[in-house]
Amino acid sequence: MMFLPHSNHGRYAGFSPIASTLVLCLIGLCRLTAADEPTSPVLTAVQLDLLYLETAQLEDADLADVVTDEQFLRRVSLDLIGRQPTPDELANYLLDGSETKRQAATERLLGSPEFGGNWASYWSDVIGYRVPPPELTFLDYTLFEQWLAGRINQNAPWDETVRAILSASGKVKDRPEVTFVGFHGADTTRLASETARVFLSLQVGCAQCHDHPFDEWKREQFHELAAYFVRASAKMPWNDSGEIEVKDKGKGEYEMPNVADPSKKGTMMVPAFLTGAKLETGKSDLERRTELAMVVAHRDNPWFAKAYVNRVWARLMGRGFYEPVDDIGAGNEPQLRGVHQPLTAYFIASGFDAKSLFRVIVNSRAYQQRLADNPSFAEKPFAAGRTTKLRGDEVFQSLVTAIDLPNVTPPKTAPTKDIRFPPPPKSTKDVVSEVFGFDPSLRPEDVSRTLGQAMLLMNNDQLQAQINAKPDKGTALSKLLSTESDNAKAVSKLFQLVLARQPSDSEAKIALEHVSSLSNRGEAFEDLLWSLINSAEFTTKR
Amino acid sequence: MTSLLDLTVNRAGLTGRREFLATLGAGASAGVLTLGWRDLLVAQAAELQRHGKSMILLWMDGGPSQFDTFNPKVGSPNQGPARAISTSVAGVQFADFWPQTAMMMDKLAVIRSMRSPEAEHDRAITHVRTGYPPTPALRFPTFGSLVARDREILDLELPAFVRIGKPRIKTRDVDAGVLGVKYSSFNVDEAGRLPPNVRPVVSPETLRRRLALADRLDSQFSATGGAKEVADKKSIYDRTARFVLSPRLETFDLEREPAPLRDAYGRTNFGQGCLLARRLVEQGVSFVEVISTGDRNDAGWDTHNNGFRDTPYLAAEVDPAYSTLITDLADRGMLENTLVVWMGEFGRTPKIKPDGGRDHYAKGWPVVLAGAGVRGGQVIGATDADGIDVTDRAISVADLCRTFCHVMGMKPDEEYRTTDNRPVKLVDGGSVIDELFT
Repeated sequence: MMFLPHSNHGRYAGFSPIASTLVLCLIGLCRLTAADEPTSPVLTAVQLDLLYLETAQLEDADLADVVTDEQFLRRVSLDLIGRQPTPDELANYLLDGSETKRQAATERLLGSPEFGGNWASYWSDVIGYRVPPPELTFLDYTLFEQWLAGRINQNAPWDETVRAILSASGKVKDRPEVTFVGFHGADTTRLASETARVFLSLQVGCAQCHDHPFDEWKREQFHELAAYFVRASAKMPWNDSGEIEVKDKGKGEYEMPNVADPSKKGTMMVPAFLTGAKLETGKSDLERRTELAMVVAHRDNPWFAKAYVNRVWARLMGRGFYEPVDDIGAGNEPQLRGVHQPLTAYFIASGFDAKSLFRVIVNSRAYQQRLADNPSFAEKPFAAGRTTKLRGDEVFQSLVTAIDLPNVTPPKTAPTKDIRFPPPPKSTKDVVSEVFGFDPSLRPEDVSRTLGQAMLLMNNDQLQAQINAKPDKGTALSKLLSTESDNAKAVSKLFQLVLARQPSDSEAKIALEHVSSLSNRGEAFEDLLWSLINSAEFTTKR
Repeated sequence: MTSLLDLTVNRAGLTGRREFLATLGAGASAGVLTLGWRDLLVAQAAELQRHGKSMILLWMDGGPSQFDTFNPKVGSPNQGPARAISTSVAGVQFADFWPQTAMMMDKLAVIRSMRSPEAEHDRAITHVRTGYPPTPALRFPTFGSLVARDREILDLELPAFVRIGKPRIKTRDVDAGVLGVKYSSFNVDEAGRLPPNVRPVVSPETLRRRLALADRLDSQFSATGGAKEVADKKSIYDRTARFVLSPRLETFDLEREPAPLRDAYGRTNFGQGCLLARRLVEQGVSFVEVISTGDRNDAGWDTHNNGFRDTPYLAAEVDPAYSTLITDLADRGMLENTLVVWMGEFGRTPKIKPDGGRDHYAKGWPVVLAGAGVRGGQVIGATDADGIDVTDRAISVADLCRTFCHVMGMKPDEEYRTTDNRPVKLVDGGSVIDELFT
């Protein structure tokens, strides 16, 4: 247990990091001192690849080729900053002749404020897709996303961020980190279930009513977890979710309902965490939630780091070690355990340094594999890259990058006596994000394309206005056509703008044939731009 | 009947589809090609007949009062100012806000004895619309989504599940839940106006030209690792293009209906919504929901305050629309294949508040059914003289949902899988309300 200095105080009897210790030792990472303190532990991308090959039982030669520079920049830009690169970013990158240009691009993207924005939007979706909308309040996650984006951009340690989310009190507008507790209305059972699911990828919700059928959870454990939240209250104001305030009720203990007869008094529960850590009754809300935050977001909690690493890996690689990503319980069999464990150990040892985790993954050969482009890869699922659907916000940002889609917000309607709950107006971003959005905890195969998505890209008038080639419209397309009279070059620029790559020869041929088939050049290019926006590739990370 | 004919014409890609194979039995999955065309036709006919039924749900958002609708309690202090009027069936009385619907009683089956455990809107809506009590563990799908899933095989140009009007408080809404967006409703906020993004902004020729170009350009990605993404996209784009380029979009255009008929339905969003519902069912849409909120304010049928002022106003929106819908469907021979259900999430308290309002009450609330084999002219169940509790034939939400399944040819005990692979029955428990059909 020397890896984890805090693991010997008895709170976490179940966690054995021996396997990961062994693997790290095998690849020469055993640099810990006898004093039980990790000294700047390292896991390089090269070491990660060795683990990957070994665990997936692959030879180097089995792997698909590495993606081209163009493909890499689009992939890593989508993953880190949530949009494809602009033509300028692409050009600058391609001009860079150094051997470490991919690492350099990664650093630039990790340092961009868009990185925090993109991943804050991911976490906001993780939480928000499972928050049942309250009766008369419209939930707005903007403040929470801004707060979280700031934390992520500062590379605040993930454990500190989660502790803030679980333990904060106050109004959403003053302390956006109360959003998770506040938007759940401080509901004890929902928060028990969602804290475990969102931050630990554990499904304890079923244990609310009965012992969990696959995992080890007992009904009592669920309600002991709920007991940490029993003194939190959240007042739901009409309309404005910024006014939701999380505060201490000042009294009360948690009772587990009597299943046999719900009208009878339940059993009083002492707050206790899944690992056995306990708190006494009589504690204040602050004490309870602070204690919970400590045991949840802790290096010795066997699920905390593991759950985070699983989610990040899933988004970057197209498939989690565990799927769905919010279920890493004992009943679920993971893939590539031999990669997951050392990555988790590395994340813990780094002090929950998220950027380091992203860095080591995206710089690996495993991340940079090309897609499986022939049937031989069907036998070797880890020997090639996977496609991923862009999230709602990513589709919006990609449209902004490609065609300058403006973000228009209609005026707000004030509540009146007859219409007391006017829904807040939806901006263009809201509309696109809603239509393309999905719950990031779903398995990739459970996220389907929809009629609404196709209709939006096909027919939306705001979007179509940006596809106009008429010189007086001032669109990206009209500017491109007025500055580029050569059709082949214009085709190439359009591909770079929308898909961040040059067209292949056959694509250029198809495009030019189309341009020459119509008498009106502008119209032909409008068709082409529309077709690229409506291509499968535009909404897919490849 | 046109809808059956349309279904035949529109039916495509029979092989490999879940429902069809299920109909043919396990043997067929070994290879549909071994079946003769006659077998196929027979199977197809059976399947079509099963799917020939449609349902229109008239949703009284907020919970209508039983006293002021279809179970007046003459002589009780709980009745309030609404008087009772006779209907086209001797001995059955309605509240006097419903003169036109009263004349339809011979076609209606009025249930007066619904009993359910939930009397808060969000919980009751979830329970009544999904058939399951609310739980944080699972977002059960609304019944329309279950129908959409069942009718997937039909592959119509129009969506299987259409909803007209907006729920009064959006946050209380239920949707496809764990079934996923694929089975969500297609929402028409305002009858007579197509939602945004449906109508192409370019000519059909231009759109077709663009779609063809996009297809050609997708081939490169398809060949370099994007085969599945491209195939998925193509499947949804084919369906979308069929929809947005379909001549059947005219179905949504109410200008094509004679003005007197539009007047008869009532020139309200709900009235015109009922007319649109008929037009959609005529074109083979399987489940249409029309929401009544009174438009004027967000309280809808939730008449806590000023109930005596608001209920007649709300009834005035529904009475002409509902009765005209029944007549219109019957005139066109469509009523025998269309189940029309009038309901809300619960009823209202017998006790009247000083300003004429009533609070939530889930004992003895009403549901009215018509069409699709339902025997009209009957009353099922009863409450006591003051409308306080059910005295005869209490009916549960599960009974009701099981009955919907029965009419729609769906197997209530069939299981679907949630995203975390949990099996869920369409309906849990309950029994079909047999007397509706005898």
